[in-house]
Formats: sequence, structure tokens, C-alpha cells
Amino acid sequence: MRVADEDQRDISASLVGDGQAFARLVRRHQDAIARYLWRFTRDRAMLDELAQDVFVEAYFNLARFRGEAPLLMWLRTIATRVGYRYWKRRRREQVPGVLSLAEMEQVLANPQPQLSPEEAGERLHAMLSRLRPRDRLVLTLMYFEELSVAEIAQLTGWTQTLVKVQAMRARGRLKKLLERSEERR
Amino acid sequence: MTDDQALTKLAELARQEPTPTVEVSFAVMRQIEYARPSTDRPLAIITGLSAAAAAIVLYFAADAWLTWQDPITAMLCSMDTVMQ
Repeated sequence: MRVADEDQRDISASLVGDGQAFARLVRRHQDAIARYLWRFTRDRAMLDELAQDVFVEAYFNLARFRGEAPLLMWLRTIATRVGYRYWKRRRREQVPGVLSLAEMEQVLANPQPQLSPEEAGERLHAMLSRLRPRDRLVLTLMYFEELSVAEIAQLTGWTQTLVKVQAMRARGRLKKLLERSEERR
Repeated sequence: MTDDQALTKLAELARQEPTPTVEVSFAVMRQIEYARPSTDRPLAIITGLSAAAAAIVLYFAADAWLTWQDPITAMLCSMDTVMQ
């Protein structure tokens, strides 16, 4: 799949300094990027901030966009990097997780049909937030985004083998976390 | 139900969640304007270098200028040096 004509036109114009053309690109793709970044944060203010970071980074790297894949795919690669960096920064700052281990027990215990999509999103996000950023990233993309190994490899820059290994380890760590919470019951 | 199946089901439900929309185009353009290196930068560098060169020339030219302006004082200064 190649770049859409309207994107290509605006990219070319942006590269020669047409700010309006880049603003059009932002407006065209901002909702798709926000939807993707919603997996990285559920804080509205932070969502805005991360979305801005993605487009600013895209602007300064636009000359490196080769146009072999749709622009949105490239923007999602940048968004993955931005989101991952945000998780790592947040971890260093030691912000407490959204969900305690005791609360996490409820996630699997609660019959899912009773959950609303918002609650399910909230709980899944909270559960994955207990993991290390690398584990969290691979499981987020695999479950939340329902991406294939090849797509995850493209977004993260990892090899497909690494994605598979990382996913297996991450699932193992998540299982351990859940078992530990079971033992505490 | 295994953990993996539970996770898959939970994610399936979570994907139906409506996600918020954003309007960041204005903020992005403002950030870009702020972060973009100024196009006047080469001019500023040339101006700075010219000013530095002018200061050096002025320093060395100051003596010559004073001598030309007041030759007697300059001559007495030289005499002082000789008398010492």
C-alpha cells in the first residue's frame, strides 16, 4: 500500500515549508493517532501531549519518510516510540500503578458480559500497567490492538522472533502476577 | 477459561470503547514554530563575527588614533619610557 495522493501532496508542500499543508496532515490523522495512543494513556491531558509529540517528531523527520507505506503507518511507528518513552519515563518517576494487586484479582473474576467497554478498557490498561514497558508494549499491541507479529515487528523495530519471545515472556510474567494475587486471596 | 482467553475477551470488549478525539493541529504548529531553527541564524552569526573583528581592529587602532590626534602627549609618553 502506498501513500494517499492527498497525503503525498501535503508532505511535498510541507517539505518546502508550507505550514498549512502540515496542519492539514495533522488534522487528517490526529484522531487515528489519538485512538492508538489511548492504549498508552487514559489521561486526556497526557493524550493531547503525546499526540502533539508524535506530530512534532513527524514534522522534523518528514524528509526521512520514504513513502513506501501509508503515512498513518509511519505515524503509528512514531506514536509507538513516543508512547513507549512515556511509559519508561513514568516508570522512572515511579508513579503508582492504576490498579492494586488486590483489585487486579477482580479483573478475571468478574464475568465480562457485565462489563462495559469503558470498564474493560480501563481494567485491561490497569492490568498491563503492572508489567515492564517492553512486556506491556508487546501485549498491548497484541491484545488491545489485535496486531500480528509482523505488524508489531514493523511498529517496534524488533525482529519477528524477538516479538514472539517477548510476547511469551510477557504472558508468563502476567500469569505470575495474577497467580500471586490469587495466593493472596 | 485460561488467562489468555480471558485477556483476549477483555481486549475484544475494550476495543469497542469509543476513544476520545483530539484537536492538536494548532498546538503542533505553534511548537514547530518555536522549535524550528530561526532562518535569521546565519545572519546573526555573520553579525557576531563582524562585531568581534571590528573590536580587534579598534583595539589595535586606538593607539594610532591617539598619536594622530595628540602627537605631543604621545611624544612625552615615549620620553618617559626613555628616561626610565
